[in-house]
Amino acid sequence: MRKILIAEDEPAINKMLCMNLGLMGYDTTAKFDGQQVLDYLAGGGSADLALVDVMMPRVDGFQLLEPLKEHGIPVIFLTARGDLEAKLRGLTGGAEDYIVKPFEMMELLVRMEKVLERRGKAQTRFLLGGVAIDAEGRTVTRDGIDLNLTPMEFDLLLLLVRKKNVAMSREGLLNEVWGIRYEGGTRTVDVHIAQLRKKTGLPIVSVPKIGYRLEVD
Amino acid sequence: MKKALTLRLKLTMATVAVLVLALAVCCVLITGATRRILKNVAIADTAAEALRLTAQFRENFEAVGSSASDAIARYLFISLAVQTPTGSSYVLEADGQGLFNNSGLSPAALLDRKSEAVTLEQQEFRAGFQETAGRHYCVVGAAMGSDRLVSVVRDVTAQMEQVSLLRRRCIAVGTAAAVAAGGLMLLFLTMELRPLRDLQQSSAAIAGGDYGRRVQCGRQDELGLVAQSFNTMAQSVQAHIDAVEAASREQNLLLHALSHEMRTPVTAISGYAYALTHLRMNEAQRVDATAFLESESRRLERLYTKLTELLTVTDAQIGLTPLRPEALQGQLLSLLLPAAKKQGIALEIQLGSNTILGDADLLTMLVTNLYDNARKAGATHFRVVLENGTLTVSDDGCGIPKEIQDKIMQPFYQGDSSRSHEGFGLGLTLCSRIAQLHGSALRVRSEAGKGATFTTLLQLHDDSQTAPAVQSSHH
Repeated sequence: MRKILIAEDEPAINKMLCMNLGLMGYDTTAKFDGQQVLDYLAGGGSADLALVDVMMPRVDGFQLLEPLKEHGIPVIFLTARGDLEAKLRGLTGGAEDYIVKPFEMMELLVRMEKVLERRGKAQTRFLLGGVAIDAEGRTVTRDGIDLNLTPMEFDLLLLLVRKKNVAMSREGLLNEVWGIRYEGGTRTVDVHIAQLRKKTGLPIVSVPKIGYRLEVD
Repeated sequence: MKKALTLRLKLTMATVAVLVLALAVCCVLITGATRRILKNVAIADTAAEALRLTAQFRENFEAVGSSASDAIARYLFISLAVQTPTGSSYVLEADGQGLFNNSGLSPAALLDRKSEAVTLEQQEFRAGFQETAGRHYCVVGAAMGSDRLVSVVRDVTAQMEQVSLLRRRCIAVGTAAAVAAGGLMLLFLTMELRPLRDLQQSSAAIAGGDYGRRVQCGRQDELGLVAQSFNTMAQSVQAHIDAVEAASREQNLLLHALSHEMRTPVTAISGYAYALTHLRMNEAQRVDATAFLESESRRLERLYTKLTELLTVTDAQIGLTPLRPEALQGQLLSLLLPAAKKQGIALEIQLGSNTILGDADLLTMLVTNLYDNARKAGATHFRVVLENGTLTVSDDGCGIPKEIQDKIMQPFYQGDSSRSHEGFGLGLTLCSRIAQLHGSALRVRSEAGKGATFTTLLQLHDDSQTAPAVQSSHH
């Protein structure tokens, strides 16, 4: 499981991030100021990605950039709106990205995945119950038997697996898999989801008013 | 600058024009008078010669006999004319026929047309002037008998040239005077109108945003007065701009701090809402998320309430009314006593007996805000004393470090140690504003670890003024 280090002094936001990322299948470590992060690193702690609030008491986000880089941990800054100076400093100082508070969870998730992918930390093999997926070889097996999925079905499955436990809207799925120019309606998504349910037997749940969610533990 | 230049030139040109006109009139009058005098002298001289000539001619002619022929008359005339070495020319005519003329002019025609009568020793002459080929001649003629006319023609060019010389000198002197006067006027106006140019430059500078610009003018005349009132105006404009800028800066700080304060609850609320709608959660997680949503919403609500209070006192123009200490004491006790009992804080309120001028609700707000701060600072004792108009509120909490004491009244400022995520840093801003509304300021005396004491000065109400009024209303 990929481990996310969260450095944020506001408990409300820190706890919210831990809860959301935990539910999305990440392992989280919560730190409430910069000193705690330094102590964690000094104690041999590691992570695949750090979400760092810029303004923190004692040791601020910028001061954490160097130590985190030394440990090979990419950084996404959580900054205040309009704090242009901080943005520039964050990016030129070696942060991978920044996100402005208040932010949407979905946006944070997309940015996190992009950074993890760049760092080669994107997951390529998934095992869900009896279903094994190899994203690079583009193969799916169920209880050791190869499943014959169409390319569109495979892309849709991979997307649902990558965002497991996260509800995706039909429009979002259509855009990601078929592309923004696809003119068919969202019925296409429903048809493909039905096919995937039949072929893989995975619990792809309809979420009222939103879309679909792959629910796994 | 261009404006001042134009005005300067206009005034100079007007001055020069008036001067030139006056000089021209003088010149014309002087040359006219001189010409008249010179002509009169020339006529007098010529007439005297003509008198002498006619007298001799008549004498000689009578000696010959009055019926002598024209030839004799001519002979006599020539012999007379040749005898006289005056440089004049002579003309003798008979019946309009020139018998003798060495002048080259035809005086008869001139004398007919444009001549004047001159009487010398009871004898009548006609006198006139003629200009031919640049030479001036004075002609005086006298009738001899019934048909003969004797004229003396005198060259007066030299005299007449005196007149044109005079005219030329007049023009030269006048032009020089006008040029000199114009130059002096321009110089004088440049110096006198300099404050006008300064005014123009200063108002342009002020219009361009340099509100500190002033005009330097120590003069006591009208321009000095204008400069003075200009400076007064600039000063009040600057004062207004400063006030507006300060207010706008303060407002900006407040907005900035407000957006900062709202960011956390808004981010948290949107995050939990996302989890509830999009993520698969078990019942315990769902309950947790809902609880957080509720607590963060409350936080926003508290922020809203505090801001509303602050806006209320910011906009307030309260009327200070006489306030009995007992009334304030009752209000404070009813609000603070239950809380203090529950939180184990010893409460002491001594408001004395002096009536003060103030607003009970606002003063209560001030004291309760300070009470909240004392509680957060871990105080065990909270004391409110009103003595000689000085309201003193003290506690024995953790105190305020000296280095942050000048910042604590700023909106949304929170001391690092007291960052309990409970308040917003608006309480002392509110208290300070309430003190201002009472015509005073909120002062703090504190040291880290030694509690805090806040004081503000309230106006005492003069009881002696209302006492009779109260009495009379009883009767």
